Amino acid sequence: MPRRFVLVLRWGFLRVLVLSEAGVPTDSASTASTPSPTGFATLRGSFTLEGDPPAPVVLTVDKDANVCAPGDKPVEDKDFVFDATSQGIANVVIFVENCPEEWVHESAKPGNEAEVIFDQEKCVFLTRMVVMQTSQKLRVLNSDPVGHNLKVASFNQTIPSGGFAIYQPLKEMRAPEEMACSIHPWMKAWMLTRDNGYFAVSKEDGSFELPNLPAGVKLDFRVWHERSKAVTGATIDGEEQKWSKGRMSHTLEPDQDFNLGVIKLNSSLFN
Amino acid sequence: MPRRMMRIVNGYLVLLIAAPLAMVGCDAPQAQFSENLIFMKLQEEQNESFSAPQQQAIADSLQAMFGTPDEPFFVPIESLSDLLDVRHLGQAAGPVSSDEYGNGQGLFRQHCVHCHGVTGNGRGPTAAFLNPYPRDFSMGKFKFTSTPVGVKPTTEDLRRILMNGVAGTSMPSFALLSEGEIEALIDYVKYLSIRGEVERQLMIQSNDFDFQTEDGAIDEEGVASFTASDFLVGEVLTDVVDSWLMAEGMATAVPERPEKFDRFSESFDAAELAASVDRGRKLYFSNEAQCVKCHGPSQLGDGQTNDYDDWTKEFFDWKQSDNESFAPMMKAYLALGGLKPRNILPRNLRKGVYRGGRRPVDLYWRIHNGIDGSGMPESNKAALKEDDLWDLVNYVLELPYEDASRPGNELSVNTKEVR
Ligand code: HEC
Ligand code: HEC
Repeated sequence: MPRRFVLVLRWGFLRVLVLSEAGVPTDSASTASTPSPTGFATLRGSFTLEGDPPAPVVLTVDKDANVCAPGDKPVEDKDFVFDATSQGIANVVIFVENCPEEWVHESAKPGNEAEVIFDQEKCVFLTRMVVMQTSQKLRVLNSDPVGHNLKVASFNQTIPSGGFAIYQPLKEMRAPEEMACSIHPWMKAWMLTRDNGYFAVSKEDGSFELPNLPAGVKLDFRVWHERSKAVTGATIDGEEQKWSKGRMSHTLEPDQDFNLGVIKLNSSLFN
Repeated sequence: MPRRMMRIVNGYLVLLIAAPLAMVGCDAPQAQFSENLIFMKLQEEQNESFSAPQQQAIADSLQAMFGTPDEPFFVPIESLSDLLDVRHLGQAAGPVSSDEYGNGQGLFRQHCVHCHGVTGNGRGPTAAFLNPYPRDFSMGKFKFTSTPVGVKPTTEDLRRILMNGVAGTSMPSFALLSEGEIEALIDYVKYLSIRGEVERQLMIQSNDFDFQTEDGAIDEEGVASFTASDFLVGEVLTDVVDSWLMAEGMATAVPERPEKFDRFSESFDAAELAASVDRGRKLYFSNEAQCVKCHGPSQLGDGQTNDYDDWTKEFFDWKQSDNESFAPMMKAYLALGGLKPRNILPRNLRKGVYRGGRRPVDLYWRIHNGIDGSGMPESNKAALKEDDLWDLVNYVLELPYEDASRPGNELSVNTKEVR
């Protein structure tokens, strides 16, 4: 009978909360001795496309066409930035998911207050994938002759032409969230805030680098792209990798410069 | 990672566990909270499907924390008395009845359920016929608040909504209810909203968690026990409850409106008001304020009319409408109870009907903070100061009386061609 079951569960829930209040550890993980890093290391690699790039999406520009679609040319979405020469895929995000503050290298500690600049031109957000530390502020600019507003997470402010606004995130995000403009609803970008600085966004040629990672401990990396969301698999050196929910794990050696090399992402991920 | 834990009042515990037992045996058909199937599907689009044990674990955790629509419950967390009065839940929930003194029970089902639904998901039986749709409380977002975007309403905000209704929509005023009944309903709205948000968070976190076995299969029992784990449930609940508690101190302080603008004050100055309205009009069309972009050059709300509100955008990505998977996907969401997408329209400011209230302070809040979930942004903090906001408020209040044929300002910022 379901009711019985619920009662048992409710009891379990309350009891554990009472216990934890009394300082009794209830989480088996917290009783095991936590490993600590043995040094620092770098992880690098480059995301490339296997197969054909997805067909570009043409946007419906229904406002301020003289600014947003000059010369009446069709405007394509930049949701898949691909460099045909290198086969590189830009704007793939990779970040470390499990990293207690004690493990974090000086250069990536929470608390970084450097401002991040975010501008817009011809009704395009100039940074498609913004990743920053939660403690950083986003300085939103507007280089267009028309006004915009920026809507993301707990923020939605008007940005006059030539004006600015400052956004201070409230908390760490688990996955990127959409950035939008309500005046020009076709505009889009993505934002991820992380407490520590262990994140990278792949460049035009698909390459990325994560320096100063803790070595000697198992790190869970998450890989994400706006078209696939979680990147759930890749081929490295001819070997197929399955990244459940976009996760891959590595334990690095101290001072190691670990190059994953060419990381092939199949085009079926991006359709 | 620092983990806050909730403190339980020990005495409560025994009572709470014993109480439901005493009621076993009543076999009238029970009202049920419905699962948020739309949100579940959204998670499934990003990750794997929910397994049956996982779904059951979410349902059980919710029931353990919140009870049922007939027997609502709130886990006795430390700060509960600052949040709501648990006795109110019993008064607002359950089937409609009243005692010998005429004290109503089942207030939510009597007054709200046909629009907002038993679960508070805004999908009661009449919802599909209303425009705008009733609020879905489960997203934890409210429009007409004194607090900034992303912050919950204060208790006062909810009281104002229940007392005044939402003018120009089907949301009625409940000013005729007793003060006690209003209090009970306010707490029940918080309860439903918190329950809805906790359900979403449990879905996100449980579906995001990785329980792969060696052979690449998913350990379903593992996922289920994680989902029901005291730690996860406690953490999620605390976060949501904290966001409500925090809001109480976050109402945007509104400076006193200058008395010279107040027609009923001795210091009223008609010339000053007219000058302010004029400045407000200039601001309306200005680069600094951008109102014209959405509300249109003749203030009829006919500027940007192609956007959707956050409740719709959650499952409806119209930018994908050219994609061949779009139509079947939409069909699936509508089949799960999603309401047909409709554009969010900026207000026609010539009607003089203000949903969030028509006092100058209400309009100040709307313009200063924006309207959460609707796309209406807050005013730019570097470009517009307090005086500018009063000018805009005065202008908006004057608009219904302005001659509609008065030509709009030249749209200078719109007409320049780049390059
Ligand atoms: C006839 C339908 C109807 C009934 C009955 C109704 N509502 Fe509503 N309610 C609505 C609509 C429609 C909205 C959305 C208005 C809008 O978006 O402008 C709404 C909005 C709300 C909001 C959100 C306000 C905000 O700031 O976002 C709350 C809270 C609310 N209702 C509570 C209640 C409660 C409590 C009851 C019962 C006492 C109730 N409603 C009865 C239709 C109804
Ligand atoms: C990005 C588009 C956008 C911009 C820019 C914008 N608004 Fe709005 N406004 C809206 C929408 C959408 C609504 C309707 C929200 C709702 O109730 O769902 C609205 C509603 C309103 C309301 C009605 C409030 C109520 O209680 O009913 C007022 C007043 C208003 N806006 C004034 C302004 C002023 C003044 C400006 C310039 C400072 C402005 N708006 C800029 C989109 C916008």
